[in-house]
Amino acid sequence: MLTDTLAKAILDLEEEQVIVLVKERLAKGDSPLDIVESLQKGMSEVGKLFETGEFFLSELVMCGEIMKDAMEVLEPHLIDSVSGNKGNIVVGTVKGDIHDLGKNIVVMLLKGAGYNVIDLGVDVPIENFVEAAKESKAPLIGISVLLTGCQEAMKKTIDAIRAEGLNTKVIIGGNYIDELVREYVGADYFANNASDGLRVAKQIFS
Amino acid sequence: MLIIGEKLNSAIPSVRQIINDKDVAAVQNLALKQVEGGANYLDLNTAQCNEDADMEWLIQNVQEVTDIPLCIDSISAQTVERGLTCIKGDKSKVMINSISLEKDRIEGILPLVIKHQCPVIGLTTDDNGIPKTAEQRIAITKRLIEVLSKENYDLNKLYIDPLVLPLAVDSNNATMFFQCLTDIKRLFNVKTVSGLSNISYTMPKRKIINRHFLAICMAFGMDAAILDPIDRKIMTSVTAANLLIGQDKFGRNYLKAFRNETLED
Ligand code: B12
Repeated sequence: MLTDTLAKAILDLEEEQVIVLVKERLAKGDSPLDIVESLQKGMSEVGKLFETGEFFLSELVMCGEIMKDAMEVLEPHLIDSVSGNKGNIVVGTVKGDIHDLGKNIVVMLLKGAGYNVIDLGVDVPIENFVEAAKESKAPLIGISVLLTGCQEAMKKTIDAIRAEGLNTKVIIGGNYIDELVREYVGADYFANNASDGLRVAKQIFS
Repeated sequence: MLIIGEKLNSAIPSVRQIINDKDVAAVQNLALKQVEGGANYLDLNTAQCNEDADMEWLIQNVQEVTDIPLCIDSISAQTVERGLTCIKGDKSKVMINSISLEKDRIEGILPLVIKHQCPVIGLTTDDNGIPKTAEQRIAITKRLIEVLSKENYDLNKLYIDPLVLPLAVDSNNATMFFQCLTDIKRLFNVKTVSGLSNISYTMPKRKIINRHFLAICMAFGMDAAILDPIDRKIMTSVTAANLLIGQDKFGRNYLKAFRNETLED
């Protein structure tokens, strides 16, 4: 059972209530990232119900739309206009995967912290990652993956980046990622939330 | 899609009986079942009974168990007036079924509609009877709208019923009706409604024809239907058609009906 009312509202797909609650929590002074965490929790439950066949695909889609609307409200609060360029970071969702809500939050957060983010979008071909890494000489590449079936594509992408002999670190992120996955695909870091990603970036650019 | 529940109609022998018997429980049960089935309005007709007195009796008893808006179905101005008088609550929510270009309805019922600003069903007929062609129906619609506009009536509350004729008589009657739905919307931008079931008159297995007809009407933009909301199959058609014509975001209502186990295939 979800006790978090915002997580519960997204689980119930109450689009209007989600927006109301997000605004309420912002007004109360809650940190935008805590709000994201609640939303993520609720979406995770939706995912579970989808997996067990209780929810249908259109409800998964709706859940994504609600999240998008919530992010529109949150975005200005996530980006607290830090000026200056701390360096380049390439970010994208792995080939075969079109989930981008989580990735977009990471992008927002990194931009907000003053990094120049090169966002390659979703379902990104391996060559695009390699090219962007070479061109931008980014010291960090972030790859998002939500589908377990895309693990091979992730591994191939990282192999290809390594094969170029670039001196770049790779962080992978997504809901199911853990140390085992990180090791298997050969990434340097992993993250299950956006702020861990930001921490890694700070570490690398310091 | 607005659903007007048709069950409380004295033309149905069993319903006539319960009205004559003053069977309060049976009447209230029929009202509640229609609401539960998804009705947005309940049509009340007592023409085959003691019309005036029974309309009052029916309204009072239905309003005891539900506050769903009612639709007074009568060609008698006196019945409509009496019905409106005993309505509890907002009279401007009561739908009047119906007016037309027939002289006695214009003189008798229209003033009541205007007085209370009720939603009204406008039949495309005049003193010459039901017209044969789509063009004639459009012409009557135009005149009806002129009459209503002169009275400053809010045309958003008008539901034109282009009157279905049986397919058995002419196999083009359905397509002619679809044409009317399209043209009325395009030319006048007012709502449309139908009682549907006339389409299948004298055919076997009428319900099959009725519910497919309904779905096609919805695809042609019909806004309301007078039907039996207790019939799960026709309500399933409403739900599925709403999904198909883009009136059901993310299939919420379809899935809700599925979970409530009211969908019937
Ligand atoms: C919304 C959603 C969708 C939406 C996506 C909309 C969009 N624009 O992104 C839609 C409806 C399109 C969708 C489609 C599908 N989905 Co989906 N979806 C989800 C759901 C419910 C939520 C995902 C989400 O946005 N969460 C909210 C965000 C904020 O969280 P997040 O993504 O985890 O991101 C955070 C962290 O992970 C981290 N992070 C993420 N990326 C990165 C990257 C970096 C660099 C860093 C540092 C951090 C980081 O930070 C983020 C912020 O904190 C998940 C359930 C779940 N448990 O995740 C299923 C889920 C991921 N989907 C699933 C499936 C199966 C599908 C489909 C295959 C369904 C289908 N039959 O078509 C398709 C896949 C299409 C494709 N090729 O990709 C499964 C995957 C199962 C599996 N074993 O792989 C899940 C887990 C649901 C389930 N339990 O079954 N989905």
